[in-house]
Amino acid sequence: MQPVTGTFYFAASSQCCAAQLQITKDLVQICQSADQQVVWQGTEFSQGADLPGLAQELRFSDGSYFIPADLSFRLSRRLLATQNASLATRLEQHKGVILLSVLLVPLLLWWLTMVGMPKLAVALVPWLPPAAVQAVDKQTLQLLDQTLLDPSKLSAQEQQQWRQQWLQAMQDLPESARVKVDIQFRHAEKLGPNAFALPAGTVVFTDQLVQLLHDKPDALLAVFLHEAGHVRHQHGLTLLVQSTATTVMFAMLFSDLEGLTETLLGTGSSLLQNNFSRQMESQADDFATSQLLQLGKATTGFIDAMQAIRQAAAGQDAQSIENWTRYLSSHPTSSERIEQAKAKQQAAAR
Amino acid sequence: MDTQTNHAAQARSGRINFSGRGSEFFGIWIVNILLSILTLGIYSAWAKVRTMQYFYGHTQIDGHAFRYLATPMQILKGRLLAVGLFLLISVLTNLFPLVAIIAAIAFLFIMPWLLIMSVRFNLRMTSYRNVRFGFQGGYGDAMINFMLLPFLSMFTLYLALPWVLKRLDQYVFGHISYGGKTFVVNTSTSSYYRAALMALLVCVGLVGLAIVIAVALQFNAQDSDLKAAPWLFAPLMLAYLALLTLTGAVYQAIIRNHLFNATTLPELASFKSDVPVLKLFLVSLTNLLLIAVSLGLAYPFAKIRISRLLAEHTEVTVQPALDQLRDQLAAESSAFADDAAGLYDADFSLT
Repeated sequence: MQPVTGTFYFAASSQCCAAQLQITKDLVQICQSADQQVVWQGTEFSQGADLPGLAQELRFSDGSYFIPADLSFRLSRRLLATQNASLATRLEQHKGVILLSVLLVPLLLWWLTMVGMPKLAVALVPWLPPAAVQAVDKQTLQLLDQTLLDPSKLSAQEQQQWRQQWLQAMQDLPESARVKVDIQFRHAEKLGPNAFALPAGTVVFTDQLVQLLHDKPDALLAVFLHEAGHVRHQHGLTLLVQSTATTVMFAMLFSDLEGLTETLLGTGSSLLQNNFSRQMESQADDFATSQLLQLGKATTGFIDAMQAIRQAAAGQDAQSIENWTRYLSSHPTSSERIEQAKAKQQAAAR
Repeated sequence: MDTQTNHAAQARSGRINFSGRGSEFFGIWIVNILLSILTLGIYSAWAKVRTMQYFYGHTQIDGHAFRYLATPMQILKGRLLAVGLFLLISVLTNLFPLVAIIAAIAFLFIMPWLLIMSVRFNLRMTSYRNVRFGFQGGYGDAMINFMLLPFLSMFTLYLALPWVLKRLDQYVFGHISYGGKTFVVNTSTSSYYRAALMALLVCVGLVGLAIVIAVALQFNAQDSDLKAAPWLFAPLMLAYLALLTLTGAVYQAIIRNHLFNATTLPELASFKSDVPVLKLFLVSLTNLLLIAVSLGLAYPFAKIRISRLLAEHTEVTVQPALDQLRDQLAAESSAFADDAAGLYDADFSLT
């Protein structure tokens, strides 16, 4: 073949020279252009990346390399007499593949975030060791006790009375709906009337909520069943696994992006997270109203609870509370939830 | 050899030549993302290497291109370690919030070490004329400059921050070595304060502009209540990002120019940067708009535009001595050192 002109870079040195590459029967020879002196010869070499607009370098075992002056020169194609560029190169420069990527990438990202990751999370959650899940409850409650929550001011007798009522209701539920729960009461100035469930089944009621719905035991029962629904469907853990998996995925895929685009993606995925948690709230609502009907009670208890909590929350900054812990994150609007409960009641009446 | 005959050769000056093209990089970028998704993220290591090789290969000083030497396996190893660490931290913070506090404190001490490892790796994998860059920054200085001083500057109401940033740049760039020489950085504190002040003025100006627009569009406080209209969150976030990027562009232009002009590689090279502040601001602004309008697809074009702009406004003067360097790192490395390097040389970061 014809000698190829280019630049030869000496091993472990910044020295270089204009040179010519000659390949004869597996022997590669590089001669300095100025005086035809041989600066490298041998049989072993590897090729650098095949990238658009760049010459493909020849690398030699001692660390020296040769760059052809002709940017489009590709040794493999000359030697093998084929258009055999590397697969990556062919894909990256193929117009059809590029177009396909433009269409598929958003579609796949959407599918992964909306379907793939949630499914993965649901599949992974049962594999989490129960001891670890127990530890979540214990540690989270401990942390909350040190920050947002104070010991309950309700009498031990009253606590026991509510606990017994609710656990009895749980016993009366069909087998498939029963879950093991640990009911706790706390005084919470900052949270106001509220209740939340931790992954392993710890359900916390604030004194404020119990006092607010004191005269409406069915409403309190509805709240309890809503939280039991979260436990039954393992919402906390699912959301946790899902958000972690999604973060890892985006970090792996878009690691080369700079701050701006990364933050945009982050914002997008956290908005999606809120969407999922709203779905979970609806699922827990559904659980609560279904079980109320199972127990032969009306869904009005649920509606009463929603209305009372909404009125009480109107005065305070609900947003700041939601930031505190993921278990309390974004809910559907209460009017939406009340409508759902009413619809359910009507369906049951027919 | 012809290079040895140039004893009396003159210093050579020239702009950095960047020849990358948006259309080429777009293909590389989008196809690599597709391949990364299809391989569950594994291919992202190959994607990173190809992207780096593309940008390095298209960046030439004095007629010689940079080379990126890292192999995909090194990148993959580092990424898997980083993912593992991330998972460990998220498991800890979520399962054991109390243990997590201790872990967070421990992480503060590991962080400078990780940063050093990452900078060192990236420089070692950067080669110019077959000589690799190196990084000699130590842990103690990293701890002070990356962690301690930024933390302490909070107590000065961030008044000391420009000085802290100057120290940080000085630490990073003043410990980079090439061909046995270490970069010398003679930046001045007053330049950092000037840049910060300019950025602050631009920031205030942009916020003022935003308020004028809001008033003109007759937004009132109740309408824009986030709780009443959660959808407002998205445009607000965008506005915030735009503010950050544009303010950052002003700061970056001023500091980059100053940093380059105040930095030399003794006996080997000196630098000049004259990025016009307004130009970088406008390019950043149009990039931002393009990326937002195209839902991210314009990213490769934006990146090429910025790279070209920065290259066009950077001049490097190369001394003849640079033609005769030995690669210190290559000379030092024995077979054992290579093995050890193989174990620890991983880019321990996701970026």
